[in-house]
This record gives sequence, structure tokens and C-alpha cells, in this order.
Amino acid sequence: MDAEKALALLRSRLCDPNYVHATFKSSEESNYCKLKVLIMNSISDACNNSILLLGPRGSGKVAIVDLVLEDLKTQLPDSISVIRLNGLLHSDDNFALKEIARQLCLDHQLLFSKMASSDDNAGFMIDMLKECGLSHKSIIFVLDEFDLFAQGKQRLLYSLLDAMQTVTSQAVVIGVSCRLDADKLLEKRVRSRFSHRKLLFVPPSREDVRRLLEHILYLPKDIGLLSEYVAEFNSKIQDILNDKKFQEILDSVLIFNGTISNLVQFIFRAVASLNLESGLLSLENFKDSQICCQRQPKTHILQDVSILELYILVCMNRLECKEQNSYNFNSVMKEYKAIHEAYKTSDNYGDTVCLRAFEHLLERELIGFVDNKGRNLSIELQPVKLLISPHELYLGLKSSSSCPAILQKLFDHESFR
Amino acid sequence: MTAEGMILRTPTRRITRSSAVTPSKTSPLSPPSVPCPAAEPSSSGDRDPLSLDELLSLLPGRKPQILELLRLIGPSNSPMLPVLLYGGPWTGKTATVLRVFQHLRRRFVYASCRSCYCPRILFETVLDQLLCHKRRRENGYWSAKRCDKPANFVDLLRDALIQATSAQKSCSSGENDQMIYLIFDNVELIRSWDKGSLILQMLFRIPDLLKVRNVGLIYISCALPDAYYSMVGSSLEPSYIYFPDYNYSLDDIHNILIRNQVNPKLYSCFLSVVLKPFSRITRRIDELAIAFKPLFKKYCEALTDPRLIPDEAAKRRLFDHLQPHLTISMNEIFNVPSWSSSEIDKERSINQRGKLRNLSGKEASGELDIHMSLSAKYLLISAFLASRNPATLDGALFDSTGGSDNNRKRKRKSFQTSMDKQDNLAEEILIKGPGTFPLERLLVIFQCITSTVEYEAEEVQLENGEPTEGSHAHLMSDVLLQLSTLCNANFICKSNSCPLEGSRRYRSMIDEDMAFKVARRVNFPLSKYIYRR
Repeated sequence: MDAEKALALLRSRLCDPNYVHATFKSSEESNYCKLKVLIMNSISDACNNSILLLGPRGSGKVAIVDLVLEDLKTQLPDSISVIRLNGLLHSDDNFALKEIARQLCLDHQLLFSKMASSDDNAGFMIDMLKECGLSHKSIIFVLDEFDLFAQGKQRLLYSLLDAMQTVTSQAVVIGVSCRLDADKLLEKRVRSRFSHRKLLFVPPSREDVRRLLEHILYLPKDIGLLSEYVAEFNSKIQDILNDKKFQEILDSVLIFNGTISNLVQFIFRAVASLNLESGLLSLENFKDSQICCQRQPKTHILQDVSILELYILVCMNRLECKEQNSYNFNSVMKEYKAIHEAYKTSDNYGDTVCLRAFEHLLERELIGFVDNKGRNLSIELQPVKLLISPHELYLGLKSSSSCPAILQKLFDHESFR
Repeated sequence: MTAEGMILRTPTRRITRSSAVTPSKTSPLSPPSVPCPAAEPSSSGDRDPLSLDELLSLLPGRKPQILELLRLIGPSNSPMLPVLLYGGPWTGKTATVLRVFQHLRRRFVYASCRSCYCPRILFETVLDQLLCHKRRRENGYWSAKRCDKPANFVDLLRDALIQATSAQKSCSSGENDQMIYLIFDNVELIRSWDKGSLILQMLFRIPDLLKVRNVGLIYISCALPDAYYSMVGSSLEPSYIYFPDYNYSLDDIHNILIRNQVNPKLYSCFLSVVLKPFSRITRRIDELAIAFKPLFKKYCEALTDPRLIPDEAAKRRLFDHLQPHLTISMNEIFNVPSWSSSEIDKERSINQRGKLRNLSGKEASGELDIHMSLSAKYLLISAFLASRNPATLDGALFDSTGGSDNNRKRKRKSFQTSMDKQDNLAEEILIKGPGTFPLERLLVIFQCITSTVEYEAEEVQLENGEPTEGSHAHLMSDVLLQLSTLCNANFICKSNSCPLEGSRRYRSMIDEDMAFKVARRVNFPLSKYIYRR
């Protein structure tokens, strides 16, 4: 019972980015504080501002923005109005203007007409900015996937930033992007109206990671669970966190993707495999999670490919080693028959069967066509290439349970000449 | 849906698959005629509940995957990070997910990107299922909401989810399971859609875009997760959990194929003979099932009582009976039986026996399975020759007066003079494929061939002392019509027209085996005419 409640609690914490990133609310130097200070200042000084949040995917930029806005809404409920746009959905300028108008109408309980043209919407936006400026209300524009807005003519960005400059408005534009050079994508006239404030989101340091883990994993005492259970759970977590092996596991997970989201995914997987009988997390959970997170899909797929398909892959590898620039199915078949004649293997199959195996490999995306130009030709004639590296193929052959020795010999001979 | 041991599949999805739907008893994957397990947010009560053991027994070999999926989905009313299932085709991904949801009895929405082949249909299908809207004649088969663009979809989805959650709260009592799961199947197909990458990114970001807590997402894909990495940072990486569905091991394949068999022990003996060699060629269950069906019939022919469980001697006897057919069958794929009358069958079986003894392991399918008119066959042969031989040889090979001796002599001369060119030409044929030829050349060759044939036929018939009535005269009729038929059947294809002459050029698309089969049918000595090394 208790274990189930604990599991539910941990899962809901991990799936809530706001909770996860709230770890860093209290620290002085964090991006959260900087952003909050900036927005508070611009609201109180009644001025316009713009800022870019940049960082790799999963660093929590949008989560931080959400946290800041939530706090501001509770502190100053009537002074801000938030408009959210996403570059994936609203990169078309007309659409974006329509969306801005719609959200403004929603916020201020006005009726929104779907028939309004984009000029109407633009005019409406400027009017609203003026009105809100006069009544000391700040409009905060959050532009997610900012780099996608910077494609094309950047009309929206220009009109927005221009309106902020000329009209008596109080607006803050927060751009969020995963491209670190997002500001270089802006046109000259847009960039001149954009203040060059940037907040960089870097991967968390070790202490931050430790704080994050403690914040997520420690159970609180006051939610109706048995206090002995809570104490036991928390002490187990502390042991794990202090364990050197856990540190190694954590390092290996974070070394190729140090973002917070990757860490959350790793912990979620470990938490999901919580042993309900004992109700405690153990190092084993984290070890299994690490293995799952670091799977190599292509090597595993090679384990399950049939032997004929392995033959075809090895033939293609040989052709590539012989530096044939372009080859197609017919050349692969020639090589295959040559191998059969040389070594008298038992796996000599007809052309149609081999073509079927070839098509399976295409479906699995282990091999692919070189380009799309050869669409008029039949499959046997279009040039193909391998989509796995020789090393992956080598690992796959080694780990395949039923791979005939001849293939390994052929392969070794080629690459370790 | 009765609790038979059949893996659940939805007919809307399978009908569009090309390799599906043989309502055979031996294939364990025949589709039940059951509607799509849509999430009526009221309840999934029309499904019989499955216990965990039943679930595990229905999907052999999938125990670790099922347990992991159950762990990731978690207890009821608990949120989850999105999950991506990947694996080769026919590995049971969709079946696993749907059965797991049948076991868990939770609300879900299923949409396959194979049957929803464009964004609008995908969006509207999902919304219809959430809003419990069925397209019927009364409402003119319209969907509940019209939704074209991804932006509209996100807004409408948010509204629909809120509506569905509140509907659940009001009607059900006590359970209070607020999670709704969205299952998107075959997401790798979205890559080939118009603006596919944008839609794919949006789809993978739905939990962030929606900001709704109670939705769980499951994506099923045939492509590896590598395929979804885009240029601007992977849309998957942050909060996705990959979940592989590997292929089955041989034992698992064995267990799957054995289900739904009338006599499992007999089939098991059959499989012990047949499974290993065939699995060297392919490990896909659909192909193995289709290949094994006729073989099993042959295997049982020697048995007097099909319900018998064979002992060692009987097994050996059955194996000997099956042996010759095995090697033939391994070199065939998808043997679609043609319906023929019983006399032809008898005649064919007599021929087959002779052929089996002769060929012994080589490709034995020397018979042409396609019915074509005589002139079409000659046209095909001419097209093949026109594609294979360079145009300069035509004068040497084809003589309108016939006379094969002259042809043979001339051919030998040209071969001896240019050996290097032959090797290069062979190489080129491999890489580039058959050459193109203009229509006039085709017709000239056709005329040469058929006039030779007429000449020989006339000779034969004059010997019999019966005058011919020009029975072969209609070889020349409707040649262009035959040509267009062959083009439609993709035996001959049109390629780009020559810029100088402006006439259409054609290319023969059949391979050597087929050409030889056709030539054998009409007793045409094709090998004499081919330019070979």
C-alpha cells in the first residue's frame, strides 16, 4: 500500500517538469532568478524588454519560463497577460497573428472573430498593446522554437518588435530556442530592435545533480505514509546516492547527454521498476535503467536478421571495401554467387529469394538507396549503400547466435587485411 | 471479440497492408472481424478482461517486453513519460500494446498512420475517438471537428481531452482514472508525408505543447529511433523511453506457429524438420507461415490419419516424402496457387514428378504462370532482345528469310573479334540494366521473328499436306494494343524520349529467367539470339 503510494508520488513528480526544475528556485545565480528579476523590473519600470533563452534540448528552458510566469501570476495577478506561440505550429505569419489575437481575446474576454484578416489582427494587436500600456498591464510574449520564427521573412518578429518600440506599450518578448546562434538568424532590422540579452542554459554541475536527485527522490513525511517506511526509504536513497558505483553509473549516463531531461528519463525508468514488495529503490534498479538507456538498436537488430540477409550485408561490405563506387543488387548477387562458388556454402539461394531478403533489409533501414533519382529503375538496378558501419556489422556478426563461421572469416579477411 | 487465442488486429489497418489477410486456419494471425478498439471514454467493457497469465500466454516470447511496458505505464491514474516501441515488422508491437490495454482496462485512443494516410485524417480520427463521435450515415460521415493544421489539432486536442476527462468524472463512480492514453502506430510513415518532419516533431512534442497532465503517449514504429533524429536537436531525446521489440527466437516462432493447429504434436514434428532451414532465409512469421502452409499439406499427405501422433518411423517416412519439395520451396516466395481444373492438375503432377527427378535442387519452376496471347509472347521476346542486344547486331542476327545456320555462323565471328567489349557490356548490363530502344526497332525485330516462325510453321503444315489458312496472320494484328497492355503490366516500360529523334523509347523490364520461360513456351530458340559473353 505504502509502496504504491510512494511509487505514484515519485512518478507524478518525475512527469512534472515544473516540480523538477523547482529545485533551482532558491539558488541566487540560477537562470530562474535572473529571468524573474528581469521581468519584474520591466513590469515595475513599465518598459519593454526582450530576452533569449538558449540551451540544448531538455535543459528546462520552457519549464523555467513556466515557473516564473506562475510565480508572477500569483504575485501580480492583474499586471500581466501571457501570449504563447510555438514555432512548430505558428511559424506562418498570418497564422501567428491570428493566434495572438485569439489569445488576447481569450485573456480579456473579448469575442474573437475567425474571419478577421491578418491586417485586422495586426492592427488589433497594436491597439491592445497601446491599451495595455496605458493601463499599466504588461503583455508577455513567449516564443517557443524561436529559430523557426526566424525563417522566411520574419514579418511577425519585425511587427512585434517594432510595435514594442513605437507604441506606448509594456511588453516582454521571451524567445526560447535550442540553437545557440538563434540571434544570428535575425535580420538586421529585427536584430537592431532586439536587445541582446541571452540566458544560457548549461548542463547542471555535480552538486546541482545531487540536489536535484534529493529533491525528487526523498519522500516527504506528511503525506499519510508510515513514518518508518519513509525513514527507511530516505535512508536507502541516501546510501545509494553516496555509493561510488552509483556515481559511476550517473556519470556514464550524463556523459553523452548532460541535460536534465535525460537524467529524469533515467530516474523514471529506475523508479518504474521499483520493487513493490520491499518498497525500496536499490542500486539494481539504476543499473538496469542505465542498460536500457544505453541500448544500441542497430547491433541488436543485427542479431535478429536472418542468415541470408547477413550474407547480403557482408557482400555489400566487401564491395565497399573493394571501393566500388556504386553498386546495386545485381552486383551484390554477383559477389554472392562468387562466394558460393569459392567456398561451396550451403546457403545458395535463387535470385527471387535474395531479392526478398534485400527488400527486408531496405525496410529495416540497414541499407538504403543512394539517392532518389533512380526511381524509374527497378529495385535491382538502383544503387544502394550500407547504412551501418563496418564496426557495427562486425559486432552484429559476432553476437549473432547462428551466424555461420564462413561469414566471419570473410568479414575479418576484408577489414583486417 | 471472443477469447480465442487469436492475436488482435484491427481490420482497418490490415486491409491496406499488401501482405495480409489470408483467412487460413493454420496462420495464427488471421484478422478477427472486430471493430477498432476505440476508447469510448465510458468504458472498454465490451472486451473480455484478460488476466496477466492469459496475456502472457497469448503473446509467446514477449514476456520481458510486456512486463516492462506494464511497469512503464504504471498503476492506474499515474502519469507516464512517452514511450516509443520499435521493432521489425511482424514482431507483435501493435498486438502487444492493444492486448496490454485490454488487460489494464484503461481508456485509450488508437490511430494508425497507415490507415490515416494524411495529417487531416489522423487528426480527425484522434478527435473523433476522444469525443466519442462515430461517422455514420446520419451525420453524413463527417467527423466531429474539421482539423487541417497542426496548430488547430493541438488546441482541439486540448479541449477534447478536458471534455473527455470531465465526462469520465461525471459518469463513472469511484474509479477516478483520469489518464487517457494516445497510441500512434506506424509513425515512421509520417516521414514520407508532405511536411512530415514538422508533423513528426509536433507529434513527439504533444505532451509539452498540450500542458495537460493526464495524457500518456505511446508511439509504435518500425524504424529505429535513429530515424527520428532531426537536424535541430532530436525531438525524441529528452523524455522518451525506447522500448524495443526484437524479433522472436526460433523457439518463439515455433510456439506461435503451433497455436491454432488441429494437431499440435504433428505440426511440431513438421516444424522441427522445416523451421531451421527456412529460418536461414527469413525470420518473419508471415512469410514462414505462408511458406509452410502448402508444405504441411504435402507432409500430411502420407499420413493415413491426420489426428495421429507420429512415432519415429512414421516421422522418417514423412520426412522422406517431404524432402524433395523442401528445396524447391526454399527457392520460391509467395507461391500463389492458381485455380485450375482437376485434369490440368493431374497432368501437372505427372510432369512435376519427372521434373523433380531431373532438376534435383535447382530451380524447378520452369513453367510460365501467366497467360498471354501468342503475339504478346513474341512481343515480349522481341523487347527483351532489343534491350539486351546492341542495335548494331540486329542486322547480323535477324534475317527476314530465316535460316538459323547463317545466324549461328555470323554470331561466332562477331564474338571472337571483341572480347573486352563483351566484359564491359556485361558489367554495364549489371549496373545500368537493360537498354532502351525505339518503337521502330521493336517492330522490326518482332516482324523478323514472327515471319521466321510463320515460315517454319508453314513448312510443318505443308508437310502434313494441309493448306494453312493464314492462322498465324493475326500475329501482326493489334501489335500496338498488345504493346500498351505489356506497358501497363510493367513488362515494358517507357523511358524518356530521345531528344534528337523525339520518338518514345522503351525498355524491357523482365529478367532472363522470365524471357526464357516465355521462349520455351513458344519453342523459340532464344539463347541463339542473345548477345552473350
